[in-house]
Amino acid sequence: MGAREDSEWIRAEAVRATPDGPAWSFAVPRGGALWIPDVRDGEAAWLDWLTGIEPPPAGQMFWKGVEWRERNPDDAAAERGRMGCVFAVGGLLANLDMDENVWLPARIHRRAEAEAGIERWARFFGVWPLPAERAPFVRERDRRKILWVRAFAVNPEALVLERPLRDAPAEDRTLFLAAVREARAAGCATVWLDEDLDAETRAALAPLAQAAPESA
Amino acid sequence: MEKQDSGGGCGKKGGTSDAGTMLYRGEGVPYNAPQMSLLGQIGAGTRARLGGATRTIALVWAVAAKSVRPDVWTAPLRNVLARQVLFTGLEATNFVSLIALIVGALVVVQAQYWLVRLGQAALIGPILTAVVVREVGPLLTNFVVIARSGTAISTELATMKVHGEVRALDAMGIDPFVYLVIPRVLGVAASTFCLTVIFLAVTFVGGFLCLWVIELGDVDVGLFFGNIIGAIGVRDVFSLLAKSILPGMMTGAICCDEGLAVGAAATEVPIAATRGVIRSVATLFVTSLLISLMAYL
Repeated sequence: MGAREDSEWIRAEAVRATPDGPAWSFAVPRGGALWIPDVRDGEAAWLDWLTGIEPPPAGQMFWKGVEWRERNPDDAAAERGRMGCVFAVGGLLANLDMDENVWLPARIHRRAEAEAGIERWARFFGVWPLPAERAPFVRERDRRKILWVRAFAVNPEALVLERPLRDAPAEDRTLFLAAVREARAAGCATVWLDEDLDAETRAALAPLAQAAPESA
Repeated sequence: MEKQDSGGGCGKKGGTSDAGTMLYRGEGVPYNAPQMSLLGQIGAGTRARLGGATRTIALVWAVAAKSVRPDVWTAPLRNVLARQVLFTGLEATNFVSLIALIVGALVVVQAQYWLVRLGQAALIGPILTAVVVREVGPLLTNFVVIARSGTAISTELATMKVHGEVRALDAMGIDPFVYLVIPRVLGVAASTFCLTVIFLAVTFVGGFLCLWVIELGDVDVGLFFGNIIGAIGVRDVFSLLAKSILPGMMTGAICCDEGLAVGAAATEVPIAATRGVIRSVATLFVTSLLISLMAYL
């Protein structure tokens, strides 16, 4: 099944977390932003479904007009490499130092041009030079910033943000929201997963669509 | 984490379920399953073991097939391979050498005692070759590798899975099978082969030193090592290669498989390590037996 519009980069059709649960349908155009009210520890694994690493129990999830399950594994991996993800839990490899963690996707996908992006975003978020320590030895605030650097450094075509500002101080929030605005201006589709969004975040993400389940 | 198709397909199975709520008796038989007859239990156990063996062979095959693609070998992958060889091979050298030295002395003491009584002292070289090169060397080296690296691999990958690191790799478009499994399996196999060669060399040196002490220095170095080298045939070389590389690959594959099969509960991590060791030891014995049968019968 093809995309309804060429500009629709992410599209969900009747996605359900459980067979008898509510169905979610939405589309995120290039440069658009969508908020999915994602319940913590709920049954929905939105990040996994949006990035195609797991199919939803029911419904279809499209990326650039192609359902994830229709892509071959190598193609799907390459497409995921063009997305930036921020994870609510984990996300950094404990046995790599911060430099290796940030560089990992760029090196695996052989993107030498990521060097400039990594330095630029690390300076932007105030973590340059990247800490030489491994993830467990870096303070939580810096770990979160490293995740942000890694997500933005690949010049993402889409951002999937799972509670990216959880417990973040005000100055970090401002920086992050500015980074999201810049990425969207460059055409990046953004999906924000969180229980609730405060007024500042909503304003920063405007125009912002909100996903809602279809009535049964 | 189940992938769409990662080539190797490391996924969930025994131990506990996704939510960590369903307990298993082992070999994939849940505790709440209805009681089976004795014959049924034997059949179920045999099927489960055959399934496990098939899975291991499929994993080893997938590693071999995918690792020959040059585009797979990115810098991070080479880095993981180097670290695995460093940990499994280099850091185990001293321990393996110590064991080899002691084994060399033990075998020589016994061989010398019995061969002298039988008037066949010149057979010490062939005896050492038959015992150490064909069986004891590869077997003991593999035991050391399983005990050190097998448990470490299972535990590391299980912890990564529990902490969401495998999910993060997947979401970044990095195939966990390629990044985590291939370099570990190949690193363990290469290290096991190198450690086996070191084991044999040190065993023979240890054996010679022991003999030299027993005979109060009246031992011909050239005769001793010449006997040993002369007793090694083509079949021994084949057996040595097969018995070090194949079980090494299988140990790596089994321990990666067990590590990546855990769900979300931290309590599954030690279970994965234990299952990895047990399966690896069992596979080691079966593989060694099959290779011996093929090489010497």
